[in-house]
Amino acid sequence: MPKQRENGIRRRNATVPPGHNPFFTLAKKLCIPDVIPEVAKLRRPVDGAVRLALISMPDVSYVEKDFKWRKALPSGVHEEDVRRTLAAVSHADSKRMLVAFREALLFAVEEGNANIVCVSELGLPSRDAVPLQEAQQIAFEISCKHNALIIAGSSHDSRTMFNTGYLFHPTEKRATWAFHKNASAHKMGERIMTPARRRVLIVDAFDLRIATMICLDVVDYTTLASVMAAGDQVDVVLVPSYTLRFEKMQDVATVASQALPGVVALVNARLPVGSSFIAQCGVEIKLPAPSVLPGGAEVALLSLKIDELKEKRTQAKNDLHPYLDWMFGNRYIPRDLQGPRRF
Amino acid sequence: MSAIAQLKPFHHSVPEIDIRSAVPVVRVAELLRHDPVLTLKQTKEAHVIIEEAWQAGLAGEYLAKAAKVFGVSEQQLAFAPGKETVRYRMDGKTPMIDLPRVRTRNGAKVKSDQRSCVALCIDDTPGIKYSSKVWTRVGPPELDLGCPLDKIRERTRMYRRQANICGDWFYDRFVALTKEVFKNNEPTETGRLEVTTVGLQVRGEPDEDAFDDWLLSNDSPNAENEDLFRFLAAAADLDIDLRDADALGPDCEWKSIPHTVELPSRRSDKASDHIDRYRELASRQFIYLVRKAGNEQSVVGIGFDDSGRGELASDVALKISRFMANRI
Repeated sequence: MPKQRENGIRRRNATVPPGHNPFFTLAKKLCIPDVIPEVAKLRRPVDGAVRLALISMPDVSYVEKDFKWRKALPSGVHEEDVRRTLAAVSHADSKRMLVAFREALLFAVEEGNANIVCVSELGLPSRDAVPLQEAQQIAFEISCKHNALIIAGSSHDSRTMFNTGYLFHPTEKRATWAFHKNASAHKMGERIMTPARRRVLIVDAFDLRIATMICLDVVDYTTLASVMAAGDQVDVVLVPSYTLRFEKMQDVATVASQALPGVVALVNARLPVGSSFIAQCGVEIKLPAPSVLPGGAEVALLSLKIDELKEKRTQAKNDLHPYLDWMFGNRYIPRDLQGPRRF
Repeated sequence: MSAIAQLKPFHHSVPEIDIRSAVPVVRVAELLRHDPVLTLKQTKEAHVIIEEAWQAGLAGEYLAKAAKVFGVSEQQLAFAPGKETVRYRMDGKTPMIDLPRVRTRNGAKVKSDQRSCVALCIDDTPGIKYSSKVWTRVGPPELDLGCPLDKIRERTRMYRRQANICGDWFYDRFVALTKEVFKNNEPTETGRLEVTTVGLQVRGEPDEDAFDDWLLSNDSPNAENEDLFRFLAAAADLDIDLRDADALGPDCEWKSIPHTVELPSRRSDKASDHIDRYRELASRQFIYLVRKAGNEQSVVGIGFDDSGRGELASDVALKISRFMANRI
């Protein structure tokens, strides 16, 4: 049985270094938080509660597909440095994934009345390292029909060498919003390219500001710092994941939720280490038992009261740990400056 | 550092920023610490009393008072449409009673937007002694273009006067109306907080570094920036050089706080139409001078607001006010 998560950072007598955190000042500029303006059409639910569905896609047999550098390499550059390895899904598995994907999305919106759906990393059905257009079309149509925001998981893409996630929301004409993983999980066998211009996608929906980032990005200080810098305007962070170190990721999510402060939700693939986890302002929220569907996906449903979350955020800002606030740019506890001196 | 970055011009000690106008906002609060601490039930009772009084004539009195202080006719003032009732809500653990926002209509000579509210502290955690607050905020209406830079003193003086007079009036009315509810909770300590924030609006698209370098130098307000101290002195309605520590006295300190701003549109990568559809979130610093005198604090700050909506000063003012009010 997994151990109970400890509540974030609580010791208040830790010494806070003087001045500003220079790492934060520079790191936050390396990644841009970008807001999609159009999604403001998703209105606050009448009952003031937003229903969240976390879909853990079944683990399929990913084949490691190597991409080698075809040109002559400069002296001193090793072939290993430029090798890329993507997770590819066979034809048969991709069909199975597509069935499970559709079944899970429909369950989330029809049975769970979900407003927001988030699918795990590498959970977007793909074939031979190319995301299936059909899967994206399904996600878009379900989003439109049920007025839901769908973060449809991610997939490795051999056309870009990125690990790319897709977000769908109801519109008359399909708009494709893609976001890319900014860090390669090489210990998991992933060797992807990462974007030259890092960004985190943020959406306005259901009276909430929701950021999304893929797996290791929540561990990466630069990516997290950019979201924290916008923390006044980010309530929820959704993190599609595929990790065997889920317990460690939960610790990160808990502290990140405390620093934001807000909700950080991890949606792992359906792996023995655990499938989903949510922390709110430094405290784990117990998820109800998930539903396991015939296709193999697992769906966890949770209702978040919007006003209650905002109240907790306000309170958590008042009670924020000084060291955590310093780590992410003194956003809620004003920083002491030296008096001006004229020379 | 890359070669491209090295080719960018470096900033002089005071970057040249084309500042077009200023948006001042003033918040004043009366602080009270009750003994014993208030209960949730009492705060709900207080809300019912204020709501009933509002319907029975307090709304008219509030409007008349504001009109008199603003120097406009009552017809030139209006409550925000659809939000004419007194609201009760929780802000964290704190119950709030919010009066409707009142603002001048188009055509009024003076453009003001005023809101009063009460934060009633019910936190009985041992060792914590937060106070209740009766707030009044006065600033320009939404999307106001702000005032010319040479009018900062005049405009902040006007808003400060409005906030103080209307705030005092509302405080007296609130205390009188809720006397019975709080009869067993004597105010043991009182205090006063006044927070003035000036958002500077700019032409062009300076970057975050330019904004920061204009305000700050070596973790201190940029002493070489004459404009910074001129604007701050105007906002504080002081005729001293704020760089002169002796003139300011010992109970003064400088603080900074950032806030998130949503930029009107993407300001880089114009080559890509796709990227232009996003709006970037950025961080903007504000610096504040805090002056203390016993249980009274005056806080005056300045920063850049390139949000396009002109609400950043108001948002930052709320943020720093919350923090400072809990520490008096």
